[in-house]
Amino acid sequence: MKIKVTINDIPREYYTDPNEKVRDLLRREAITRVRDGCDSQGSCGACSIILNGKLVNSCLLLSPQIDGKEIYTVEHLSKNRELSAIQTAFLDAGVVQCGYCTPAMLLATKKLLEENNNPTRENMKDTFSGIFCRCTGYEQYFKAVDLAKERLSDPHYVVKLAPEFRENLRVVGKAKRKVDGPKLVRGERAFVEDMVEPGSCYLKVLRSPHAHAYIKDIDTTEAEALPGVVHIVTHKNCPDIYYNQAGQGFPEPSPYDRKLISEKVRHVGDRVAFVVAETKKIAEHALTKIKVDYEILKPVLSIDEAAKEGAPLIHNGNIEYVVGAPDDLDNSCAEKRDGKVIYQFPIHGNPRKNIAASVSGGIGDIDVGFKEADVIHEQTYESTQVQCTPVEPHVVYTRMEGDRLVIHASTQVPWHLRRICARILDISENKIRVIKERVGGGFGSKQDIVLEEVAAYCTWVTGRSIFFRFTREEEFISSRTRHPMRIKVKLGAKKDGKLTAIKMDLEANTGPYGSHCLTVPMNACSKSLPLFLCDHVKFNVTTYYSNIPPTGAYQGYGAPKGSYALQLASHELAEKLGMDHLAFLEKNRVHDGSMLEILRCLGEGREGIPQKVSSCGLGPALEQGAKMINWAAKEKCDDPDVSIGKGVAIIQQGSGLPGLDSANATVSLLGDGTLMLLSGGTDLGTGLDTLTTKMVAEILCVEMQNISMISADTDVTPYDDGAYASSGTFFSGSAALNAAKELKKKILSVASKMLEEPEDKLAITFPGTVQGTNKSVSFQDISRHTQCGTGVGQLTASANFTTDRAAIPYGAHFCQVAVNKRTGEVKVQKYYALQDCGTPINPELALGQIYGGVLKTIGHSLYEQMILDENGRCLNANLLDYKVPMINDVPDDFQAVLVDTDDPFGPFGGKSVSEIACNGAAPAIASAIYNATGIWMRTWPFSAEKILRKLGKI
Amino acid sequence: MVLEFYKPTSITEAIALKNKLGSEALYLAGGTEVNNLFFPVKPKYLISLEGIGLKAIEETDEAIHFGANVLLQDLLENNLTPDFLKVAIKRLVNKNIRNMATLGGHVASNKSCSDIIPTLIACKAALEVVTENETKSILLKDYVTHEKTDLITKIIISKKVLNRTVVSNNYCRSANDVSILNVAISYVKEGANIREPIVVVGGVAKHVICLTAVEEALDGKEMPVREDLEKLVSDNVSPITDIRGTAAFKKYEVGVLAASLLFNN
Repeated sequence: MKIKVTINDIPREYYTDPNEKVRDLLRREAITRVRDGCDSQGSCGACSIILNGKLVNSCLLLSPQIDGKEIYTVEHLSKNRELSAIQTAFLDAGVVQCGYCTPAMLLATKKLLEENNNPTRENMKDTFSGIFCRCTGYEQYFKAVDLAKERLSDPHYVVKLAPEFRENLRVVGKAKRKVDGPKLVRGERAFVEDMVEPGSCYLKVLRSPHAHAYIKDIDTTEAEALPGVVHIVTHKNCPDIYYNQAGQGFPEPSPYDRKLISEKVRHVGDRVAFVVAETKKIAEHALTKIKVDYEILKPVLSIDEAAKEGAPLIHNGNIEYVVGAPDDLDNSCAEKRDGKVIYQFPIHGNPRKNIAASVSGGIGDIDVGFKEADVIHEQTYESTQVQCTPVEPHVVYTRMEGDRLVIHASTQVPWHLRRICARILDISENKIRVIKERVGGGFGSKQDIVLEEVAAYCTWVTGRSIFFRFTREEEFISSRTRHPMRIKVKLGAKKDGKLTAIKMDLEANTGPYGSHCLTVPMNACSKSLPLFLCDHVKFNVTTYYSNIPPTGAYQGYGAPKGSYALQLASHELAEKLGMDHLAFLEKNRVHDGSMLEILRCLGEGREGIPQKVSSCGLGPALEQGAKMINWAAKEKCDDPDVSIGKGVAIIQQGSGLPGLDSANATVSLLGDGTLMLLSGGTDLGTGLDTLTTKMVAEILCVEMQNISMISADTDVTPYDDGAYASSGTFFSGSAALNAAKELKKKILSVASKMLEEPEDKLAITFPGTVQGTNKSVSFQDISRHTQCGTGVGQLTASANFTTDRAAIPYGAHFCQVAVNKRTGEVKVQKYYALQDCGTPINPELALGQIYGGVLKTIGHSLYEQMILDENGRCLNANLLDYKVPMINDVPDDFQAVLVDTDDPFGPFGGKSVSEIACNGAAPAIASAIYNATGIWMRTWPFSAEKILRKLGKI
Repeated sequence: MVLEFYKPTSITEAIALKNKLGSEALYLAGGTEVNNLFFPVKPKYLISLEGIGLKAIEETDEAIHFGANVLLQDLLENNLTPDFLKVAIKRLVNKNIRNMATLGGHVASNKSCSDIIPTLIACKAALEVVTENETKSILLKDYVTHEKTDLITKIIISKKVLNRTVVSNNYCRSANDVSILNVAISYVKEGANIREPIVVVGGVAKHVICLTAVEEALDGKEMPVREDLEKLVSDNVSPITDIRGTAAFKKYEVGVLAASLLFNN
C-alpha cells in the first residue's frame, strides 16, 4: 500500500506492506537514526520518533498508522553541519557514551524543552522514562537538559559540569567534547547496522530447544529447496576446528571446547544450523523447515548438580593439551559425539568431573592465621546469572573484498576476532580485515566472539555479504552473562579488629563452554583479596560446566561477586567484633605503598606479579564519603514500617593486565602541521578515542581538533589486545602517549637542524611550534621541510606499551536505603561513589562511567536475574520480564566523586575508572539493608520476596 | 501476518468491517498491545480506530465521558480527569507508551496486571460499547470477567463517585516494571468506619477481580486491626507462582498493599 508522510518537513510517499513497522520503514529509507534494542517490545525507546508532536516508539507502529502524519527524527535538530543547542549540551555534559540511544534522548529533550522552558528533575525523569540507556546511569542527563535550556536562549552559555584536574595541562583532566561525539549526536552512520549494503544476505540460526542433547539426525532438504535460501550449515558440514569464543590474549586460559556447530547441544539456544538467505523472512521461514531428531539428555543446571558424583557430563569427549598434558590423562571413556576439549596449557580442569578449570593459592599459613584469631566468621554468599544487555545487541556485517574478508564488527577485541576467525576459516590473518564500528554498548559481552565467526565463515564459503544481528532473546540465551557463583568466606580477626586470616572458597558455573572459566572466578579473588592487608590468605577456585546459558565477561569481570562476598563478610565479622564497619575497613585496608604479595599467585594461568601500591585514594574516599552520608547518624523515617540503613564497601579493580596486555599507536605529522593518530584501542563509547587524542595533543602541544584519529581497524591501525580488563586508559592511552613522545623526538631532531640549535635547547610549545633560544619553527614548516624532495620523509612514530607495573584504581561506595519491612521493598535513597582513577583524563566521561557502572549493579543487586526452568529454558529472555534500571530507578541523591590521586605509572597519572564502579553496589546495599533491618542478604538480587522471607513474614 | 489494514472513518463503518471480517480481524487503537512482539494473536486484518473520532473528554451534569481513543498522556494533561485516575495512569511509567496507548485500548486489552482497570472499577466506571444493533452501557466490573470484542466507545465515570475516596497502590520490582500486583479501593468515609467499599485487585487471577467477601467484611463495620485486614485480603485471593513471584509472596503482598490503602490514607 502507498502512504504519504512528512518526515523532517519533507513530504514523502512510500510503498509499504501493512506489516512493516515504522522503524523498519524508516531504516529502509536510510533514516538510520531510529535504533532497535527490544525487537518491538516497546521497552527500550531506542526507536523513538516525534509523531504528530508526541514522542513514540516507532517499533510499535505499523506503517499505515503514519499515513498523513508528520514525523521528526534527530536529523531535524542540526542545521547543515552545525550542532543545535541540545546536541552541544549533550556533548558538554558527557552523556554521549556509546551513542546508540542518543538520538532518542535528544528528541525527548527537544520535546521537553518545547513544552516546558523550566523543567524540574521530575519532568525530566518523565520525559526520559521510556528510553533505556545502559551506559550512563542517567544522572548527567539532568544537567544536560539544564544546559540545553540555557543554550536555547544563549547559544554561548558555558557552565562547568565536571571538576578539572592538573592546572599545568591543557586538555588532560579537562572536559573536552568527545571526538566521536558530533557524529553520534547527529545520528550519522556509525554502527554496524548502518553499513549494510543493498543486496546483502541475512543469517539466522536454528537454536536448540533442549539444554542437553545429541543431534541424532538433521534434515535440511526442504529448507534448502526454498527459493532464496543461499546456504545452510549444520554440524555435518561445518569445519572440524575447535576454538574458544573468549577474546583473550593467545594462548588463552580458556579451553577450546566448541566447534561452529557441535553434534551435541549444551544449552537451550545452542547452535543447530545456520541459514543464509536473500531476506530475513526467507531465512526465518527456512528455519521452520529444518527437521531435527534429538537424543535428549538430562540437563545439569547448578553447581551442586554438576559436582554430584555420577552427574551427566557436559564434555565427555577427548581431552587434549597443547602443552603440559598431565601424565594421568585418560581418554579411554571419551564419547566421540562430545567432540574435544583442548587446553592450551593446564588450568587444572577435569571435564570428566564437569570441572572446566580450578586454581588454588595463597600467602602465609592459613591455619596459623585462624589460630591467631580471637573471632572467626564463616559464611556463604551467592550471586545469580545476570545479562549485560547492551542496547545494541550483538551484530556483524561481513563481506568479501577481492580475496579478502571484511568484518564490520561491534566488538571489544578486533585483533582477537581476526585471529579466531582465521583459525576457524583455516586462512591466514592477512586475508581478514576487521573494522570496529561504533559499539552500541559492550560491557564485556562483546569481548567474546559470539556471532562474528558464524557470518565470517558463511561469507567466506558463499562469497555473499551477510548481515547477522541477535534478537533480544538471543542476547540473553546465546551471548554472555555473569557467571553464577557461590563463595564461602572465612575470616579471622583479633579482638581489636585486625584481620589474621582470609579464606575464599569459590565455585563458579561457567555453563556449556569455558569462556573465561579460569579468569573470571580468579578475578573475584584478585580484585577483592588485595583490598585487605593480611598475612595469611588462601583461596580455592573451581569452575563447573553446566547447561545454563553461556557465561563470560561482564563489566567488573569476577570482581563484583568477590567484592560482594568479601565486603559483606567483613561487615558480618565487624558486627561479631562489636566494631563499626567503617572502622574495621579503615583498620585493615590497603594503603599507598602497601606490598601486594598475594598477586603473585593470582596471575591468569601463570605466575602473577606482586605489586607495590603506587597510588591509593581509599583514605580520602572513605573520609569524604563518611561525611557526605553522615555515617555516624542513624536516620529515621516517619513511616513506622520503614527503616533506614547505611552501608559502605571498599573496592578496587586493575588497569589492564601487567605482563599480558599490549597496546600500540602511531602518530604522523601531516603536511600542514596537523596530526593523524592511529590507535589500536577499542572505544566502546567510554571515551578512549578522546583519551588517546588528548595524550597526543598534550605532548605535542596542539589543539585536539588538529588531530584526526582512526582506531581499531586491523588494516589501518596497529595491534591492541582490545578493550577489556580495564586496560584502555593505562595501555592504549600509554601507547598513544609513547607514540607522541617518539614523534616529539623526531620533530625536535629535525627542528634542531632547521634552527641550528642543539635539541636540548628546544621546546615544543603551543600551538604546534618548536621554540629555540631566539627562533622558532612551526610544525607546518617542519612538515614541509621533511616531506619535500630533499627531506627525510614524513615524520611518523609508532610505539608500544607493555608493563609489569599495575596502576590500581580504588574506591569507596556509600549508600543509604529505606527498607519497608511490611512490603519488603528496598529504595536506594542515596548513593555516593567515590573513586580514585588517578588523573581523570576525561572527567565528565569518567563521571558517566561511574554512574553507569553503579546503576547497572544496583539493578543486579535488587531485581536483575535470569530465571531458568527445570529444563534450562530462560523464562525472562526479554526486557519486559528481565528488568533493567531506567531513569526512575536512579537514587534520589546520586553522586559520583573523583578522588584525586596521581599515579606514577599511568599516563599523566591516569588509571582505569569504569569496571571498578560495578563492585560496590551489592555489598554496600546488603550492608545497608542489615543496618536497617538486622537481616543479612547473602544472595542477590535482594528481592522483596527474599527480604520478607528473611524477616519471617512469609 | 496482516493482509489488510482498514481505516474506517466512522463507528458504523468500523463495526461493519468487524462483522464482515469476523474473528480474524482485530480493532487497532494505539498499537502498544497489538503491535507488540508478544501479542499472542496474529490477526489477518486490522481495523484502525484512529479515524473514527472518540478523542474527546466531556462532562455532563452526571458524569465525565472519556472517548475510547483518548491517549493516556492526554488524560494526564486534562483537568477533567480525576486525580485518583491520574495517579493510576502514572503507574504506567513509560511516557512513550502513554503517548501511544488509548484508554479504550488499554481497557480492551483487559490485562490482569493493568495499572488503570482496578481504579476504574473501584470508581464504578461504565463502558459504552457499540454493536451493529445497539449502543449499551456495561459496568467495567462486568466487562472484565467476560471475553468481549465489542467496540468500546466511551469510558464513563459518574460524578457521584467523586465524593468517594478512591485510592490505589501497586507492587513492581523496578520503576518501569509491569505491575505484579495492583490494588484499588474506594469507599465512603463515615466516622471511623467505611461504607460501601469496593476492593479491586489485579495480578492474582486471570483478570482484575473484586473481593466481594472483603467488601462485605468491611462495609459499615469497625475497621479491623491492620494485620487482620491484611490476612482477610490474602485469604481471598489465589494467585499463581510464576517468574514474578511465588503465590505465597503475592498473597501476602496484596494483603499488605490493600491494608496500607486504608491505614495510610
